[in-house]
Amino acid sequence: MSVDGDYGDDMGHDLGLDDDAVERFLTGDVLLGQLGTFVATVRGLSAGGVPRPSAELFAFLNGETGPSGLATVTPIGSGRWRRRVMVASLAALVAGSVVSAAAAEVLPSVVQRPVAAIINALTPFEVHPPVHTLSPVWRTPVTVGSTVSPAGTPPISSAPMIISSTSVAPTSVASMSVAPMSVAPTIPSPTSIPAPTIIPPPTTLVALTTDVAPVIVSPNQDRPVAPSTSIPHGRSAKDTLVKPEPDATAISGEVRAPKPHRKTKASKSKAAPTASPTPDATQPPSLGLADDANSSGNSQGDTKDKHSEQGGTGDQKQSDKAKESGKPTEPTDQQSPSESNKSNGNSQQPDQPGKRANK
Amino acid sequence: MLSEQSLEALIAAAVDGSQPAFGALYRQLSPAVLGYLRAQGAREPEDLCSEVFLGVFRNVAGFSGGGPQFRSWVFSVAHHRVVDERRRLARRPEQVAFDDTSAEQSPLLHGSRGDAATDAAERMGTERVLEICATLVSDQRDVLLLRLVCDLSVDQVAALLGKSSGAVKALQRRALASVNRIVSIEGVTL
Repeated sequence: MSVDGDYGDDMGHDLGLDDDAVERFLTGDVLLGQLGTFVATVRGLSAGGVPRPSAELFAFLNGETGPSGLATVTPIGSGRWRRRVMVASLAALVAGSVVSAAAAEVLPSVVQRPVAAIINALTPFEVHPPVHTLSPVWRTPVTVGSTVSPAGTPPISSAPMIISSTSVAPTSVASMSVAPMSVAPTIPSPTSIPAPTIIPPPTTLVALTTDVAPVIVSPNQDRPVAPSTSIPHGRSAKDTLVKPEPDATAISGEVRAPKPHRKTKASKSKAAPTASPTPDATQPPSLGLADDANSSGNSQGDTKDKHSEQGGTGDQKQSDKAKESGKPTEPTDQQSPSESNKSNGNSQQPDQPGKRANK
Repeated sequence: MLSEQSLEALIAAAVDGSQPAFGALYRQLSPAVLGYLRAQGAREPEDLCSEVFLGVFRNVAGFSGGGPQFRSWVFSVAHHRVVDERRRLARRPEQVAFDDTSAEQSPLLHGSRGDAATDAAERMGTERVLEICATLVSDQRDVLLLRLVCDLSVDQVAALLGKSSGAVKALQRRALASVNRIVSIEGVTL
């Protein structure tokens, strides 16, 4: 090895002695100046008196205890580390046991739910909450076609997940003669309805189960007739749901015509038929479905309105043709003079017969 | 100072469980162990010295070897206790108030010759030596003290510290160079 040091500040302060000279210096053969005094003083540290032994060592040296009776000397601080390791191991064991028990669902339900929530929140693992804490109705699978009772209404937090997997909503809605807001009014058949992709919220379901329209029995009819909750042609189910009109007079046998939501040109010009919108007695009672509304005479008044609208439009075309040809239009047999007046009113031509009649 | 043969006889008797041999070994080696612990800056050198000999006597039944091996083993136990205390103090430093009585009762004065001037000079020299040792690098201080105080050879020190003989030689050479720089260049008088 070279005389110079390998590193640090000592490279410039080497004594310039080889290993043999250093060895002679350390063994005391050679003493040089202050450094020699230092070496001699350090050597004198081992020439002190015998230290006072501790009580345990004193007892051992006096023969009171043998070598086997000496207590095991543990390194300083080892007890603290041993306690820490034991506490950490115990905590890890308890945590692992709880997690394993939660995963196996053997914990009590009171403990299983918060433990599952903690594990789901803090770890990538997913532990399901206990199944038996759910309502018994929702534990059994629901098939298509069954009706959900209000008592089996699930909690709001869990309702959408279960409904989406069973497609219960359209069937129950159809059986209650009320269409949900998100379902189209033309529902073909309750049994052939596929599961809707848009799930109505649970609050809508609750409202639908309570808003069941009363069945009206007319004294002139043998069969009960669904009231005005049936969906007219050309209207959405939403309008029907927003304004349910329980007909109080229907109980006494009179069925009044429903109030039109909007007045058409034909309804203005032509007096509304006094005939009720109830279907013919020969028709089967409507369940309120849209297809029933289309097929049955439930919307007869609206159909007449539509026909009158079409007729009015045809008369207007006819008057336009007459206007072009210069011939005055004559009211037909089916048309009253007032209708012809109103229908020709748009043409800005004076209606002479009407005026004469008024005069 | 016992001869090498007497030391080996004591060691053999201690291995057989002789109580007088334990006392003789303690009287023979405890001053050097105490000096080493004090030079290393131990807080309670006497207590630590007692713990070292308790550990030695507890396990002496399984010892095999001569006098040099026994000395090397005793000082290796002392060195490990010093290292343990350094680590403990590094984690939790302790503040100890200065006490004059403890300085007067220092075992360094046990070898007093009765001359006040000589004792004062020796105390000053000893304290200054301990201060210089405290300024050395840890490895250099270990090698220097094991060589001078414990009177161990290069190979024994190398085996105790887990280093090669060449590394121990380099360390002791640098340690002497550092001490020489302090006592000569900086004008420190011992």
